[in-house]
Amino acid sequence: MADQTRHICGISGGKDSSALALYLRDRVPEMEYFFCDTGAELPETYEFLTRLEVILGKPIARLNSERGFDHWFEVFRGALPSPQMRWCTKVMKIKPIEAWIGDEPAISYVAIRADEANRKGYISTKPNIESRFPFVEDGIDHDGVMKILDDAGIGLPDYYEWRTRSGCYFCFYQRKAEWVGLAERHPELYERAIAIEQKVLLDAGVDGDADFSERAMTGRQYTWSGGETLVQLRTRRQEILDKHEAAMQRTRRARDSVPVLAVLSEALGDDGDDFDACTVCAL
Amino acid sequence: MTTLADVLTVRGQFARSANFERDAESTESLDGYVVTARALDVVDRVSEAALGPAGGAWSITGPYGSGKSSLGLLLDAAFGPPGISRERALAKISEASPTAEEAVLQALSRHQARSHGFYRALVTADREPVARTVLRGLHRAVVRRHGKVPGSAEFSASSLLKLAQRRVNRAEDAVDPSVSELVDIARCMASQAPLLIVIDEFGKNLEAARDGESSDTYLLQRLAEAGQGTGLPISVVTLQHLSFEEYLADVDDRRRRDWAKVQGRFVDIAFTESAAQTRALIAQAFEAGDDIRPRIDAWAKSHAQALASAGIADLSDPVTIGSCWPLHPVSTLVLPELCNRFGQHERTLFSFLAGNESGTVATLAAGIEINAEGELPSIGPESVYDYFMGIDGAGASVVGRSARWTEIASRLRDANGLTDAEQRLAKSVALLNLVSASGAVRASASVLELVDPGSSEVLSGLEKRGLVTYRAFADEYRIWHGTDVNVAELTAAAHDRIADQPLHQVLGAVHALEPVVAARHSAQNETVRLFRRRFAHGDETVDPPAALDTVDGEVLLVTSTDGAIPTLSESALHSGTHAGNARGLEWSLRAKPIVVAVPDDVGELDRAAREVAALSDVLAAPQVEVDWVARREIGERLASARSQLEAAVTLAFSTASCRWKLLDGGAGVPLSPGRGSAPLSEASDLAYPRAPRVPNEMLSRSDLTSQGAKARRILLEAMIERSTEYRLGFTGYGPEVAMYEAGLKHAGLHRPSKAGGDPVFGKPRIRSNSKASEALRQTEQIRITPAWEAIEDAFEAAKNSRLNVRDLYVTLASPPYGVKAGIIPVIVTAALLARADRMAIYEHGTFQLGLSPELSERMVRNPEHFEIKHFANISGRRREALDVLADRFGIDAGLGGRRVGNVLAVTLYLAGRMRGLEQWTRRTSHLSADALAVRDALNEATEPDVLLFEFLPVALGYAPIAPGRQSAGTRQDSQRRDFEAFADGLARCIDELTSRCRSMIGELCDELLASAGERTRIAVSGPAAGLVDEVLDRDMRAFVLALSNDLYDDDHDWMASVATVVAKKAPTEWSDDDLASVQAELPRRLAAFNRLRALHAEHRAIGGTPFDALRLAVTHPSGSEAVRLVDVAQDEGELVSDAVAAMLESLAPKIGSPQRALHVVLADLGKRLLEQGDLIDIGPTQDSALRKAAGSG
Repeated sequence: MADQTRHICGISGGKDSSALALYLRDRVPEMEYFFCDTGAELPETYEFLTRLEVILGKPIARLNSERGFDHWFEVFRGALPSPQMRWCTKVMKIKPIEAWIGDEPAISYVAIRADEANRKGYISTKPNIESRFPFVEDGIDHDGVMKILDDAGIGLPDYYEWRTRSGCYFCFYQRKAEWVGLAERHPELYERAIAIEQKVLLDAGVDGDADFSERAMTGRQYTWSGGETLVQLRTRRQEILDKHEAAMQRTRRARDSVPVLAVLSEALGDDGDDFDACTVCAL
Repeated sequence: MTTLADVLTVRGQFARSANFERDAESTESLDGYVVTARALDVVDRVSEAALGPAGGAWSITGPYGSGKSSLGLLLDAAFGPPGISRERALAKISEASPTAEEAVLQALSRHQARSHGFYRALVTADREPVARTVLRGLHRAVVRRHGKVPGSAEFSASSLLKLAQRRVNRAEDAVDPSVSELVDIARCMASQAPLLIVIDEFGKNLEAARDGESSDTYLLQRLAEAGQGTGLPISVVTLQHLSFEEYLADVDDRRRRDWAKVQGRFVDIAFTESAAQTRALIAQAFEAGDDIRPRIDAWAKSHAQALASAGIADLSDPVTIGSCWPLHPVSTLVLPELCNRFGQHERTLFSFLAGNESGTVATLAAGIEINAEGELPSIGPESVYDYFMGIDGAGASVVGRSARWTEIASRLRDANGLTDAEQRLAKSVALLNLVSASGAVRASASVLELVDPGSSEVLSGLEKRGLVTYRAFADEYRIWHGTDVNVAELTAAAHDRIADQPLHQVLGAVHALEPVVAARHSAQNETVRLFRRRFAHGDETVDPPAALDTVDGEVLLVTSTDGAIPTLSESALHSGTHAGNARGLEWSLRAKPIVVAVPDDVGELDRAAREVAALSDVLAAPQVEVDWVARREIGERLASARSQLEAAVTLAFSTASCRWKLLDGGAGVPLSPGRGSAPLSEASDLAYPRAPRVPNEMLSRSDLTSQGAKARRILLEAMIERSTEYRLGFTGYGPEVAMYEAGLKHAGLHRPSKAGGDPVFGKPRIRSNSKASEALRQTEQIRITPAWEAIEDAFEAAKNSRLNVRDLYVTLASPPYGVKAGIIPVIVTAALLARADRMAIYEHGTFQLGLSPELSERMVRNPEHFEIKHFANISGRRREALDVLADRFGIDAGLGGRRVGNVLAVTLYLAGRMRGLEQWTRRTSHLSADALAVRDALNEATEPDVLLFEFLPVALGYAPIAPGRQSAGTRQDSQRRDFEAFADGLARCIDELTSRCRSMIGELCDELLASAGERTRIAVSGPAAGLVDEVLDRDMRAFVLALSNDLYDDDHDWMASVATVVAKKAPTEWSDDDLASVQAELPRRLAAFNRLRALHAEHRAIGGTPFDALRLAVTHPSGSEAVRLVDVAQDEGELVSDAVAAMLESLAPKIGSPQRALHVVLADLGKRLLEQGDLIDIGPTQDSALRKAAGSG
């Protein structure tokens, strides 16, 4: 009887999981790649996924593509996800992944690098899934990942120019400076995030919009970004950028010749918010 | 002088607490003990168990003074050796139950124990380990039987027992016996006689265990089980005040679990007596002389009558009253509750009856004179009061003093100068106040009359003094602290404030009305019809509940009495259409029914409502809020007023005293009164004659439970995805299956398309001229048909304009259909699926590709976001055009193989083919003019028919296809040719659109091979693979790696990956600019690749002399970079190196330093290189900025 075990590799749209996919391309020929689509990813992410698919020569299964954020926003009638009520993770990530994996035995390859001893990543609690960490096993660190990406000629997702991670465009974990980045790179998505914050589904077609302002969370002062609405945040654009630049400078001064991405992530980490990443999003 | 004491004996033994060690040897210990029903129960169980081989274990839990220890003594005596003690004990048991005595005797005989009795280990526990207590008990039992611990010959465990006893009694480092030692000793005893272990105050052992002093948790259980092997039973009885857990409340979980297990092996017996049993105990305590008996009987008889007329059924039996003499009946009445609530149960009771301190019955008796004639004296409640509460009331060590107790006691203590009669009554009132909770035993005028026949005058005196207050709402006199708040005045003012408020408003504020169910209608139709209720005025104009509201109607309880009834609002009236009903009345409304109830009389209702409102108002007054006495009084009055209001509402609107009508815009349709909700059922019959009957409780409701909602979601998904499967592919008996059976299968909505065919959704097929039994079987199908037809009508009407789905929901939820909100999505979905080939669905105004499970989920939640439109089968010219298109594309138009001229089917086909169109194809201009025009048409059209008959023909240069008759003759032929040309053109464009991206990549591939000068991919990828390890430049290396990759099955995938590496973007995502730059870049990369090949080929041809290959890169001030790979053979290198060294040496003095000289020479060489022009110009590296950024992460 043929071996029934599935080999699966989750792609987040970030560099590590992409490098892992490329790394395993020749090593695990029966690999199935998947990406958990919230329907609200950055355009850069979608573009990068297609790039990766071409290089891999294999499709990346898009999980959950039928029921993305807009669907659940309607079904929950305007109840927004938040760190306290993270329905997004549950209905758009964990459930679709577990449904897709099913109950057959499977080996999941997780993109944790050799130099990230402490990162968790999504490790399923389902008993039929065994996790493997090829980068840790083979001692592949950050430089190793960059080499893999270089050799594949795939480059990096373009959002790394202004954001440190993939995920929803309105991710409530993103920094103030990243919100400003969104407003500049994708003004239309920023507008949409504003609309969602006001519990209205924009771009809803000829006959008008779904307005949930009277329904879920009525009277609850929930904002995507702590302490202010996106409209208010936008008026503080320059202030945020100045602060951000100052943080970048500090980091640069502290060490010589630090790569920009490192400076970016450290500076953003210094933004004054709690940083509590969505581990499943960064799958 | 004759006193009570002369004619009465009070049995006193039971008055003090029993003590095992002291009383067990006394022959009089059981004098005065009364075997209560509870005690008898224990005796019964012990003897029954002793009849068997195994014995048993009981834990008896009861409060202080309930006679537990005396029970222990009773058991001890009953199962002891023959003698006076046993005789008395058996006599007492026999007195209570001869069969119980019989059982004891049998148990003794069975084990040949009549002559010596059982071993009886009677022991009182201290705060010590159980083992120590048990050892003491066993030792004592042995000594009691044998006089001492006998020698080993007679008692094999002799030395073990002695040793254990010595070790325990050692002054220093005493050692407790082990479990096994005790078990051995007990076994030895049980080999001679049954063993009965009774541990009093077992709670102290448990306290010791709680404090960690003992670990022998299972000792008692082991002992009880130890008897099983020997043939003679061992029984264990523990006596304690609280249950095991309460003693062990704060020990760790493990030990508590252990003890819980142990207690599990014990039979728990709660040891408390009822009031009647307590009175029986009282009766046993008194023994009156024979001479006086006739007088007592007469006294008792007259009191019994008085008590009965006062409504005190609890104590109206002359025998009980008489046997409790000399206690006054009111004393007898309050004592049990008083002892239980404030004393130590029977112990307190007997202290009062027989104690020898002052104030007890026994001591009072000596001072009460009995006259030869007239009324017998008795000990009234005032004496009870004195004993329990008076200043010198010595006996009662009162526990559980309540605030009320303290207040009453201090009130009476402070009242000076009362007459005897006043004192007597005041104390009676006080006692009754203390024990009364509710019911007849309270300080009412009639009860007080029992205490003192002239009480009313005395009471009014007490009232005047302010000591006693009469609370009319409770019909009770109270010794209650007064209050400074003038409640009466406040209440009157509050009444004034609300005097002008209309009654329905007053009622609305104070009396919440629960919705009611139209019971009969609901049961008959298996659909719950709920009516909300409110109070209303006759002159109101009202609106019915909204169609999608969860209630099915409203009841207005009218509180005005001028005969006017509320009128329906204009909007409610005009939303109506006309439909007949069973009564032949004109039913004019499509809105939910409103029923009005007009009572004949609201007098009592008015009074009660205003009282509640006024008192509620007073309760909220600031001065009342801070005065708890006033608050409490008003609170009680309010509670009482509320219950009166409740009764008044019920009475006023009972069907008998009230007229019921259904509002209809006129005088109303009279509803016949009946029991309960009968008028509402009648109104429901009238309002919802066309309601379906879906006998499924989960589905047939307005608000689904979360489980119900989940089941319905599963059902809807199955309907959409497996509509042609038998039972929708369901197996098993889940809730969704039950919903399917009730809502679809039995309703006939999902049935075979033809005999033996696959099931489809559709209108129920009702067989006419069938038998009655058949009709019955078709009930659900018949009942759902009107609603189905309503949907069909709405669909038909949606041919010209779209129908909002919420409006359809409203129609179905309203009369005459009244379909429950839970069912609506199911039948609407069934109807949409039945006409899937004709019904277009729009969400937020945008055409959707049919009904999908996720779309259905959203539609259930937000029907208002959806619209539907009916695309009827068309005819004429458009029909012909459609047929041609369907033919051309091979579309099987219509479900079930029916050929229908169907706009939707063709549109959906085209939309489906366009769905996966690449981003590049959506944007590119590298398309034929026709394809570009077709692409625009597909993007712009929002309506299927507009797309097919207008936009697409125009895009391809034809006239729009207008509706109209088919042409005839030659015109028809030429028209058909036009349609065919149109269809061919459209098909060509669709093919072009769907294949263009692929062909573009194919073209790139051809260009690549041409640039490389090769004809096949292999010819390029093979050499590339050989270069992989030789190339250092990052971009070039990726390019070479991509060229060499042989993972891909065909040229297309290979080329796509090479193109992606060059553009850093997948071809499907390109813009035309991206394409152009790749087309420019490819030849350059290939030229470099070719040079590399040549370089390495040459090198290999030379035969492998070692050489260095260098990559020279020069950056121009413009930012562009030039690159050259140079191979340097070893001898060449040495030659140049020497020459350059010499040159630098000569230049250094002129220029400054050797370092500086080197830089200047390098710059000059670089300039020469750039001028030479054969370098590869790779431009600014596309991702150079990113590269830097991605240094870490």
